[in-house]
Amino acid sequence: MRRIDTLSPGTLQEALEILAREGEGVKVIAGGTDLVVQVLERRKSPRLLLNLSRIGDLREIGEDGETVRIGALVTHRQIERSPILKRRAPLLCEAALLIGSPQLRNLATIGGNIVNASPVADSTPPLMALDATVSLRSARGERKIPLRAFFLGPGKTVIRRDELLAEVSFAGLGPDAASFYERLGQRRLLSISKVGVALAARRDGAALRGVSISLGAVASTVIMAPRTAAFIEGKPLGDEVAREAARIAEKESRAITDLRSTESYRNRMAGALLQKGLARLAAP
Amino acid sequence: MIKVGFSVNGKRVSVETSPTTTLLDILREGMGLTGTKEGCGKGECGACTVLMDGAPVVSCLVLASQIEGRKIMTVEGLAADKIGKALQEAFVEAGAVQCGYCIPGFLMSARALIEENPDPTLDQIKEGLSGNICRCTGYVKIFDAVALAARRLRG
Repeated sequence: MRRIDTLSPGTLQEALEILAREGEGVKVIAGGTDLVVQVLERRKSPRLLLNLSRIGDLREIGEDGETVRIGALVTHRQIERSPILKRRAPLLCEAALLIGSPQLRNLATIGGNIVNASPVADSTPPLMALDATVSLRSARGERKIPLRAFFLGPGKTVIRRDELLAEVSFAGLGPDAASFYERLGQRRLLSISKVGVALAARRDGAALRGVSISLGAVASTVIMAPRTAAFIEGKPLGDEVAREAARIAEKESRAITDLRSTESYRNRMAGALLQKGLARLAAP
Repeated sequence: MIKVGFSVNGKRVSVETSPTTTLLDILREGMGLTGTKEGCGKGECGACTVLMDGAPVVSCLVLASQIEGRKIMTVEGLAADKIGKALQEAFVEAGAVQCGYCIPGFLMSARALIEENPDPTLDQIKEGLSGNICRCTGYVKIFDAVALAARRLRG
């Protein structure tokens, strides 16, 4: 790969000072699985790389009462295996298992997947369904932003030039939770999502309460599907409810046609994946 | 240029290189370890798989600035490794190799899998090797070879 000057700070504080000092043309590299390919394909040409691989912290998944915290440098491999996340956010573990391949998941970080701001990122729909918050750190201090307000468009977020995403946190699901992440790609692994649907709720008898649904790859960012969620809220799960919910989700989906799929297919599949996930939740 | 210190197959090395040279190029061009292959060059085919601190990674996407202090294991290190040697023998016996270009990558993924899970089911073998692509379509015999090596290692 072409030579790019690289700074490799040993602490988060040093990294933040470099960002405050350096200005334009700096790209942050964590796992590198997106950035290295973007540089190789000349889609990005940074002047300077800020390499986070020597920073020791931001690598843990922790539980603090209701709150689950994931450091930005946690890899998708850690997520897929985390006992805390299997219990408190199983839909995120399901999503992690669909990302890339074992060799990519050992490198790729959750922070990178979020900041890259691809509408097809697989870890984002579960985190948005969980109403996660991101912590943005700079030499000036910290900002906390709901993930649902973080994305502005493909590759675009509210993150400022001197900020780093340090952590993502959310209220973990309880034992009465129901959740899923369903995704459609060309094949199961090493494929980019055509449509992804995440749902988080809690069970109330045969019904779901506090329903939250997000849709990936069907708009310029991952989006929420509030009308679909409101329809499902409080209704006993069953074929009829799932079918009608799918029809509403198809309308909330705002897909475009591109090289991976077409608008109408994606919108229909957003409904179909929701229906499939709901059937999974209704199964005894 | 930067100086990076790391280990390859148990031997400590120090290399002077551009910070954005890939680990794959350091191994092949810089150290003459040409057993690790370049396939797609963008992390999708698994031909360049090596172990970094025991975990399989695609060496075409790892940069020199990211390997300071890491332990790298390549296919050249397998003959001196118990699991590695068992895998090599099983691949030969099962006829798991056709053109052979993807095999170093498969061996490294299989090495990591068996170390973590000495008694993998067929599905677990498939999952463990899911990041490696063989274009001769020889997967069945590769799965057989990994199962055979694991069985022998369990004794």
